[in-house]
Amino acid sequence: MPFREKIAWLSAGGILVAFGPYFALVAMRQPITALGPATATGFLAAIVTLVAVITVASIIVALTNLRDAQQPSDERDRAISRRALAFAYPVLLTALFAALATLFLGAGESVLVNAVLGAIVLGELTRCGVEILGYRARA
Amino acid sequence: MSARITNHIRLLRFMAGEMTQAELGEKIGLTRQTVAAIEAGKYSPTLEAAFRIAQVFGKPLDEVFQWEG
Repeated sequence: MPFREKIAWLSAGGILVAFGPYFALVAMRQPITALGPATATGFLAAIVTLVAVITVASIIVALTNLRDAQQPSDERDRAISRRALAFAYPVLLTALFAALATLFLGAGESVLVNAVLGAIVLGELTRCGVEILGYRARA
Repeated sequence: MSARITNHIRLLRFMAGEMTQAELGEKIGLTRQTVAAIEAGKYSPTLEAAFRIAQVFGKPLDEVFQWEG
């Protein structure tokens, strides 16, 4: 498996591990009313988990694939990355506009913040997913 | 569309003293995985990379890559 595909898997896994529990907690706290210390703590915990998981896993993958990790990205890597960004960008924009639309539906600041966060997570997962597909599919 | 680009890179590597994918990749600035993807027909290289590959083997482009339309 190409080194950069492993990194894409790691990123997707890290996002799911970090933000899956966060959004599960947010969803369980009904009604979602105001931003408070619990939300802030959950958000902080998700960010710390994300950084920790991706950093540690990336170091392990790089050390076990030292030669591949040292190689600069080539034309295929760049083409796959460009395609993933081109696919993820409209997904991110659409999700962000949908998040903003919650304001017009009378949602509060907590819903808006979490919807924006969800949009970013969705965009990043899309980017990782398209990268993984790019390495696996015929191009 | 079922057209695709095929190649003889694996055979040419064998004939070039069993050159490895990594060695070919180093000569043309591609990763081993990309060379493997090209060989397997999973990735069509840029024209520049295709010319570089042909140059490594000292062959014209159409002896390395074929268009099966």
